[in-house]
Amino acid sequence: MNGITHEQAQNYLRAAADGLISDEGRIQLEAHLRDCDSCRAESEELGALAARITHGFHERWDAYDGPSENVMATIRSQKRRIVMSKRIGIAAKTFAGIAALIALGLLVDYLFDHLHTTAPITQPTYPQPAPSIQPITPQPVPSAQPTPPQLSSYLMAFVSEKSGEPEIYTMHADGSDITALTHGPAKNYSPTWSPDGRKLAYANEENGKTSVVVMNADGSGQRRLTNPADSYVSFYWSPDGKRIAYVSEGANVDELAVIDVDGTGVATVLDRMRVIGFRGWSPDGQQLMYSKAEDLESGTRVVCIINLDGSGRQTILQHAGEMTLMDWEDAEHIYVIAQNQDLTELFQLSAAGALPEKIVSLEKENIVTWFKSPHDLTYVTNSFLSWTWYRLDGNKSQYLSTWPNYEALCQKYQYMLGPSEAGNVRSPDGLQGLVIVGCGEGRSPLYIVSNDGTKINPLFDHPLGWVVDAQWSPDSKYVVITMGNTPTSRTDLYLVDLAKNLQDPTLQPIPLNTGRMGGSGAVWQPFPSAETRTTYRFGDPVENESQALIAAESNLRTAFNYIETLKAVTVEETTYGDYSKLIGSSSGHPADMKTWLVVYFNDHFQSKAPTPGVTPSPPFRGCVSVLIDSKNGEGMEIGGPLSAGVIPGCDTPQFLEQPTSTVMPASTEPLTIGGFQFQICEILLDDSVKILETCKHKGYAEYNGGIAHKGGLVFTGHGDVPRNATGDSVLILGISLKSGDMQKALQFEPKIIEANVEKSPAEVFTNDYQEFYWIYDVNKSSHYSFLLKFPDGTTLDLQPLMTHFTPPVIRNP
Amino acid sequence: MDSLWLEQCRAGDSTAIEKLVGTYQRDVYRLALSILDDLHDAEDATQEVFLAALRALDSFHGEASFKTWLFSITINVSRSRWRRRQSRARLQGLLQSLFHLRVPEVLPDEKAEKDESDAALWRAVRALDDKHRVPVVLRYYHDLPVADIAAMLKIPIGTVHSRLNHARERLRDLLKEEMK
Repeated sequence: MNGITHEQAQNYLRAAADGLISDEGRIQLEAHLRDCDSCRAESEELGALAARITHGFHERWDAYDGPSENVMATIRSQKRRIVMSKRIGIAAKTFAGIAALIALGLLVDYLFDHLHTTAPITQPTYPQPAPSIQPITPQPVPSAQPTPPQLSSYLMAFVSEKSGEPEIYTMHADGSDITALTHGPAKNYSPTWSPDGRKLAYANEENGKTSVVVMNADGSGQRRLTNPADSYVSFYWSPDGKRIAYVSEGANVDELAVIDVDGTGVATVLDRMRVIGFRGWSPDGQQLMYSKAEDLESGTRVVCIINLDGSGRQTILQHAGEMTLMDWEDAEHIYVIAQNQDLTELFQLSAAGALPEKIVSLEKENIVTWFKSPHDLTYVTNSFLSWTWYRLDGNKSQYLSTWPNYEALCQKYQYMLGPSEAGNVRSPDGLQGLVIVGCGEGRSPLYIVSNDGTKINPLFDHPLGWVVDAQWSPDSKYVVITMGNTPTSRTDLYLVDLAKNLQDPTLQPIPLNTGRMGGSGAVWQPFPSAETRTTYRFGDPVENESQALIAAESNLRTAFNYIETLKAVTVEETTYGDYSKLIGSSSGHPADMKTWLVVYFNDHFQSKAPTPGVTPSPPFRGCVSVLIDSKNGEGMEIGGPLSAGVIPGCDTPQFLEQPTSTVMPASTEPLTIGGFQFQICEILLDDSVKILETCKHKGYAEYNGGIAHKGGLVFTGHGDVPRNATGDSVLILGISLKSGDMQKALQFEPKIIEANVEKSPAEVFTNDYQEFYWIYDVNKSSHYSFLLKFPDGTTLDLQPLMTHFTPPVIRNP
Repeated sequence: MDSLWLEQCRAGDSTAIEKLVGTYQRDVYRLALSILDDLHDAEDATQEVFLAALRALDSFHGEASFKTWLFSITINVSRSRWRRRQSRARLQGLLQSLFHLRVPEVLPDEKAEKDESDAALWRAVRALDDKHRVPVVLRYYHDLPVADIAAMLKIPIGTVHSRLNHARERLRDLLKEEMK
């Protein structure tokens, strides 16, 4: 029974390095080491590494014994101020206390007047251990909470040449239900969703002439909207979805026109000219923007806007160069990046016709793009193999951050092409961008960058693929990638789950239709309503409750797999005092910081594996809570249930799967902790924390190196943890209540008796598996009777239980 | 630290506060130094920790030991200083590359490295992010048990263990690369 597997030995080795192994475990490990050369070598290597680190640290820092006298002097000088403010604080509290007493007196009077008949309320006398999670204001759980969509509920349109010519198809984001909407012999491409997601417009090319056709999302009701033009047509839906504006290219001149989608009217031609760029509708649907060559000889180009009836045409910018990017930011503002041989410039233009404002003008750098959020305009420049972010503050550019020497990303490859924008680089919320880093040899890792450049994260680097295009899902959670396959030179569609790939960029994108038909030009169907979905953020400042929700969810997504059905059941702004308690910190939060507590209930939580290749613990059903602060939106997952019964199911977390490996029988080997021997034992407690049964069921199971309890009180221990110079050890008692009511657990603080003196735990902590631990310092040389005292006065003599042992197993987080 | 003494500090007793600072300043400074690895920064951090602790003393209720509490504050203060320094360093790097500046002064890290036998170890330690570096420092320099580290960092013991595992793997790999 002493033999341990090689894998267990590896775990024990690591546990030993952190002082988390029992005597018994150590004996077993030593036995294994005697027979296993490779393990011995590893053990020695670990030891040598530890010695080297320790030696290095001591060599570096030991010479510095303490801070200089200046520190003491400053504290002394500041101390007076602190003392004064404390006295003022005490006075204020006293006053508040008096006010509260008066209020209480009034309340008591009121109660006596109105409630004589009510039975006296008995209060439980359990001590309130800290840190405790404060009850939140009860809120009914809405019965029909909208849940975020499953992958199968996102729809996208794309183009495939499976049948020889390009045709339009739709499929769900999980690659299911591939449906052909058009069926030759014409070429059909450029599918574009109407804003409500119910219709698609597309280009139809037949006998060398191209026109715009609309159809329903299922392919029915196809209707030709425009007259066939000589070649290229570009078109945009109006924001209300009722009209389409298009530019059709003729032999000598192009036509800008607008037409009703319902087919009742004829096209209104707005302008005839040689169009260079067409940027569609203003957000209010009142104007169209396009650029045209004013003078082909000099290369002068102009940006124009025009009303829908052809009136009010105005040139808002004239520039001797190329417009590399132009876009509406709102109904009044337009941004244009213009470039010629000498300069790159960013202009802000006014749709009302004010003079163009040159915001930035650079000689040797290119302006790559800009990001616009409600309060902010940032832009990115490219020079010296680096990208640099600036924020526009009035007329001044303020440096934000830089992505230095991105060339280093491509060192593995022969040459590099530099980062470029993906087709739709900016996320719908304007806070992030996708960047393809072209590295040569067909490698093009995809990166995601934040609007201020402070976050630059790889998403993936596919060995065989070349990223051609990337499109954000409407909620910014997913990206669909068109990737060229270097060996076959065909393009296929892939899905990237941003949260997952941010966590682990070695994950490859999920093929959607590889091996079947190829695909390109995928576009997501807009959500049927103008519903704004969660956006993925990088710890931005949080200003309000809805942003707190978003930040909380992002935080959870980094910690958990399988939270597709995740929903927040309550969001509550916490007070100064709550915050301190929630994070167990005594320092409180700064006066200018707000915090929110978000509680999520889920049918299927599962913690992410701490290291690749390690299976995570079983999924569970229940609640987790996240604390978000306004300063940086950093989430702190505080786990745990809230007040009992507030949210049905919140106080009863259930493991959804039983651990897969076998449940260990009650072992006959003794557990030695600090010289004492224990038997593993479970105590079932009822909801009032009274003992129902002891040691009936020994449900202590091993699960991939972790442990899973079925409930009850268990003894566990990481024996012989050196805690101080006297060789004291630590005893850890763990509790996981059958009922899962952790409020009850909070009221429960077992005490052990050491040399006839009650001893409280040295530390208390909880984890996100709804387990509480009490840690006691135990001294080998002391005498313990190990009588456990419960809050209701019940005692339990542990002595008879201390004869048997199950080896403690280190739980992976 | 006995509770009477803390009570006196809370009440603003000068002698008690002086005694508190005197008792813990060396430990706090060492901890800050080992996280920040910069003498000047560590000194500032020490000052900040005591001022923050004295202000917040009212909210210390003895859930953990006083030292654990003080060390938690030290870790938080040092970490945020470390982050601020990282962003300063990035800006400095940018300015240098833009203006082709050469900075005459030797940076503290490099200086220390030259005087030291185990430069490879330092490069490896600096390559760890602070999520992994701080537990390593607490374990191997301050010789703290994993349970104490967990309490200070307010994370479960298992998480400390897995971070230490990860850090050891990474250090081992980095040092092996150096050998090549």
